[in-house]
Amino acid sequence: MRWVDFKDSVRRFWEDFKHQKAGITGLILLILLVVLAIGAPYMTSPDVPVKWQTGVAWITNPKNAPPSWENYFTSQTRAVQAEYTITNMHVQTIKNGTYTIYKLSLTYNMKYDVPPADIVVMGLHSNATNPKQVPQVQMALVRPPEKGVKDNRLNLISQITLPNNNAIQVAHLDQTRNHVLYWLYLNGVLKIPNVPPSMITPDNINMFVMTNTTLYQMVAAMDSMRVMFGRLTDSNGNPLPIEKVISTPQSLKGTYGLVITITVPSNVKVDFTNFKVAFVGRTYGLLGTDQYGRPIALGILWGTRVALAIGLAVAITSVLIGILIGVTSAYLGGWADEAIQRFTEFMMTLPVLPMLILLSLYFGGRVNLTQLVFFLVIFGWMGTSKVARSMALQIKEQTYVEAARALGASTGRVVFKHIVPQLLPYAFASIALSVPGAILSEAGLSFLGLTSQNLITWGQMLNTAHQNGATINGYWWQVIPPGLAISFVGLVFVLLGVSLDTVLNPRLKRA
Amino acid sequence: MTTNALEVKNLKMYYFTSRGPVKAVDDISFTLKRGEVLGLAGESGCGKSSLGFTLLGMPTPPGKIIGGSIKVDGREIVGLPEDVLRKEIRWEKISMIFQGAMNAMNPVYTVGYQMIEPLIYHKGMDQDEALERAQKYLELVGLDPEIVYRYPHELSGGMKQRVIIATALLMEPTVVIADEPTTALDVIVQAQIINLMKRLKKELNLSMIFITHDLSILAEISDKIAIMYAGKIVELGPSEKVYYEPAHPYTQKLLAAIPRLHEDVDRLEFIPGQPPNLLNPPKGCRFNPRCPYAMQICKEQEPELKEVDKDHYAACWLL
Amino acid sequence: MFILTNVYICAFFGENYLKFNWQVKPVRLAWISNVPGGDRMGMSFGKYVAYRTVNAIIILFLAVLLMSALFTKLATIQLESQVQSTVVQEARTYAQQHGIPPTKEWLDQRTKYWEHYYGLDQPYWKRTWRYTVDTFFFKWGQSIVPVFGTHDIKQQIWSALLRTILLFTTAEILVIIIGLGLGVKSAQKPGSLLDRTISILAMLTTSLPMWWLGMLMILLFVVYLGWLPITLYSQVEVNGVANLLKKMSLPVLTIVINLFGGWAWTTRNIMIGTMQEDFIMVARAKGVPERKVIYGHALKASAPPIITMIIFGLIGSLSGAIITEIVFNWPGMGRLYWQALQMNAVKTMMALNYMFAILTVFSMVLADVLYAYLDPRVRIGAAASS
Repeated sequence: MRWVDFKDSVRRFWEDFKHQKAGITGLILLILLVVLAIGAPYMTSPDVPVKWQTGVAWITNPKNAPPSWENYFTSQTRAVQAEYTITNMHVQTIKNGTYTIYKLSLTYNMKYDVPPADIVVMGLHSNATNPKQVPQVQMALVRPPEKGVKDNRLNLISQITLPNNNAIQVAHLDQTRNHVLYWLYLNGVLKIPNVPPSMITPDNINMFVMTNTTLYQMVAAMDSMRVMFGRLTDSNGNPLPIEKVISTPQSLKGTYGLVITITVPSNVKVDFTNFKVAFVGRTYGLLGTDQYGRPIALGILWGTRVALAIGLAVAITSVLIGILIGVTSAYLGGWADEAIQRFTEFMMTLPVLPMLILLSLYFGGRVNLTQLVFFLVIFGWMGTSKVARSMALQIKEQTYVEAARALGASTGRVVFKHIVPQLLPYAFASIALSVPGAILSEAGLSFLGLTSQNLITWGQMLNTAHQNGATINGYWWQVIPPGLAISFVGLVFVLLGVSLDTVLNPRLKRA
Repeated sequence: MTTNALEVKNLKMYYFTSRGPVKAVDDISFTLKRGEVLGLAGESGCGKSSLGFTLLGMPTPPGKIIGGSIKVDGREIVGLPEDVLRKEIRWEKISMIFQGAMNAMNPVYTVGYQMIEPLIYHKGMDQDEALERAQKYLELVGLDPEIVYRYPHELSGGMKQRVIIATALLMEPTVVIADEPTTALDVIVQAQIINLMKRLKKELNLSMIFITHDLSILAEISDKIAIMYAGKIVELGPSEKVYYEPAHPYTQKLLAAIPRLHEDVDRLEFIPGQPPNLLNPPKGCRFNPRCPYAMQICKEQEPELKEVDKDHYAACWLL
Repeated sequence: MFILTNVYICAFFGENYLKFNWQVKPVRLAWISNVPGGDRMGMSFGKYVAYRTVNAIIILFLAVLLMSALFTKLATIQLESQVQSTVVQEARTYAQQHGIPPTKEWLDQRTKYWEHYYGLDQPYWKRTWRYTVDTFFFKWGQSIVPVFGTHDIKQQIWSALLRTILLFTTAEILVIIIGLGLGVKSAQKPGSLLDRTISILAMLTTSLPMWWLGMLMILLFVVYLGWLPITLYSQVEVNGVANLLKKMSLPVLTIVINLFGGWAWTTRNIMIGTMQEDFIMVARAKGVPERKVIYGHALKASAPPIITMIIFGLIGSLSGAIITEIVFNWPGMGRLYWQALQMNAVKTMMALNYMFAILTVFSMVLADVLYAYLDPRVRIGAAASS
């Protein structure tokens, strides 16, 4: 084929293809997918695949949180994720003898019916070498004024050490819970009769609570976050009954302040560049999170890469191999053809998924991308090869091929000049139509937990969801998006394939 | 014998395609007497097969009869509901001999079953009775009656054609339309089939419309010949007259294109140009773009059929 | 040699749009319609069936051989660790009895003993061969870990097989009825609303993982609507026939929704191809009632490819079905596979693979034989056709 002819046929193809509504839709969507796949590292950060496997990276995220926009459809709004870095905080540095005190304060607008699930402080880095020099953290919450409440300031942490790479999760600290109880006591909500107030401190209040079984059970089930962001008094300023405050707290909306005091010996340097304070949401982002706190939306975005890579690699390779084998078989004829055909049929009769599982196990139980592509190609070329063979057989019989051969054209010339070009249109349509199958296979294997964990794939996300009992727990955001993504990519290629088939539709197939 | 077997008047059948109506059968009139064979000839795509199916009352979709009348045995069939057409007209009054080379026989039914279907649905015969009759007709067309138990793929092309002929005659219809029954058969079989049809015509006194693109066959079998061009009949007359004294330039050209043994022809003629696009036929005489004698009037007005001789009509401004 | 061009094309087109979860196998039809004729010039139908069966058994044996070659490695790893732990156990007992730890020679000797016991001292190919023969003749033995409450692999697979058959036959029967009905209906009026809906549906479901659809079903009907109790799907075993039927409802619905569009579309494509055949027009011209034209002439002529496609559809949906069982905790072959996978019960997996291979191979034979049976061109020696 000369270059001019090629250009011309491409132009004619485009003229026809333009009118295929489905095809154009598919093409636009495919371009979108490719942009997403290529852009994923730039839109997020290139180290996502590494972080994906470790729980540490997602410590500030809520677990199993639904998407934030669910708030529009629920009667109660739930806190969304809010994160602060050092640039969002007011920093005050005080020297006190041999110590340096950093006073960091920030404001948080709490406008939800359900307050944040946790407050996480992390990313503090110091060059302390000795455990005694590790930074000490104190934390207090400044609540908006509430009628009848004496003390708006609520200590959360009186003292805790924060070594490098560690995080403080306020909601899980006994210390914080005791402070909350003590604060309730101070404000007259929690009543401890027959004990002089001077005897009660945040450190021992739990002991007094334990003496009252009902109270103790109530406290054991208490969500301290909801209490510290909750109302203590009714509209007249009278303290609410304790059950109401602890068991069915009502949120106190308004602007809160968080004051974090970090004390370090003056010779120790503290680095705040990665310092982060997170008000962990009850909802998260566009598509929520899984049980490890990993954002689903991030997984969907990155999954595009693997899906496209596997789909295209498998489809292209298996179709090309199929055509090669089919044409060879048709061209050779005789016993070689017979042998190739028997082999093809043998491969077709192998049950695909069990064979894939077996191969994965043989190669160590978790296969990487290359192996996966290789396996899927092994079980993916037969269909194309059968079609290619029968098409090649028909072409071989045609007069102009016979003429070419009579003129002394070599085998290679006949195959590449006359047979292969006619199969190309079929090949394109076939490639597009093979992609969904490959992606579904990958998803299936990933769902069974047989693919490498270094990959972010939609199948693995569904596997994670299944292990988490997402369906039964009603975590729809963990189930629907990955499957939808798989179906979407499949649909894009089906649209393309069907349109390509209509446009390119080789004469042989409809002859 | 007072009524004609078939009377067609001003019949119009258009295909309603997305690009507009295709005038495949446009204002056609003729009559067929009992025992007469009308040969219908023309180039491919001139509408002769469309006419055949229209006469059965089943124009191929998206075709629709939009005017005119078809009287079979004196009974008007245009406008009859589909149900009546199916039960009382098709195969009962008017049947069709299909091209055997076509996939006219269903590969999954036996020959016998396909033959007796009309007997069962129209006459309500039981299977044995119907089979007996089918076998009688198979003998009539010169086949072994035992082939009722065979499947179509077991028959040769000529045998299939004979079965199809027998099937068409089974109900003793008033009119038989033969749609290119000899096309795609080899010459010897073709001759056998033509002889068979000539014999049957004599024995059964058939009224038949014989559609073909092969004029030489028509001379053999037909009493009258109609030449179709672009959905219209351009010449109609007794076979000999049309054959030896063609009046219309198109007929003349068509006949000149047939190789003849007895005459010394230097080279075969052909008709330049293409048959017109029936979506948008030329104004005036439809043959005018290809006609060597075209005049101004031919481009403006459509000629009517004129009697040029006794029973010999042609539509041309030259006459 | 006959090439059922039309049938082949329709089937081909249909199949490409069809969903088979794994790679589609489009032209088997062409193979079917070509090869049997070529193979069996002058062969009677009975002989043909026998020929295909023998052929299938040979293929099956080769498949088992291939699988065994792979499985032997897995079994080796497992048996080696088995030997090691047995020897360690024995060493501990020895030390308790004699008060001194065993000598290295003693340990080596015990290891050798157990290796011989499990046949690990045999060369790889020999073990593969033995494994192949044992598997092929259903000598599956005991699994090292209990699955479905028993060590006996035959029992494990037998109970799973019955449940799988129960679930899938029910679903497939529904799919076939709905798919055929809708396919024939939409073939009667190509381009109608029904026809377009089915085309779109087929395209959509092509790329839908069946098991994911199952997860959605649970979300919708169990969690949000609460029509079925959660325990039905969070547990594997259910008590009583009524609960079993209840448990079946969602997976059956899933399979039906996932497959009927594709099958209707295939049927439609094949039917439309047939409806354009001349013999349909001839039948109409003969005055055959329209119903008989469609359900007699057209459907009967389309039956061989349709049935072949249905069987291939079954084989194609096998993989999706395996995972669907896992999602619904349906105690069938798929769920058994999952459990065996989790417990690394290698022998159970091998037996399951063998069963799946049997199912696939014999379904294909069934497809070929039914095709041959339904199409007289294949059934009756095809010498006359060209």
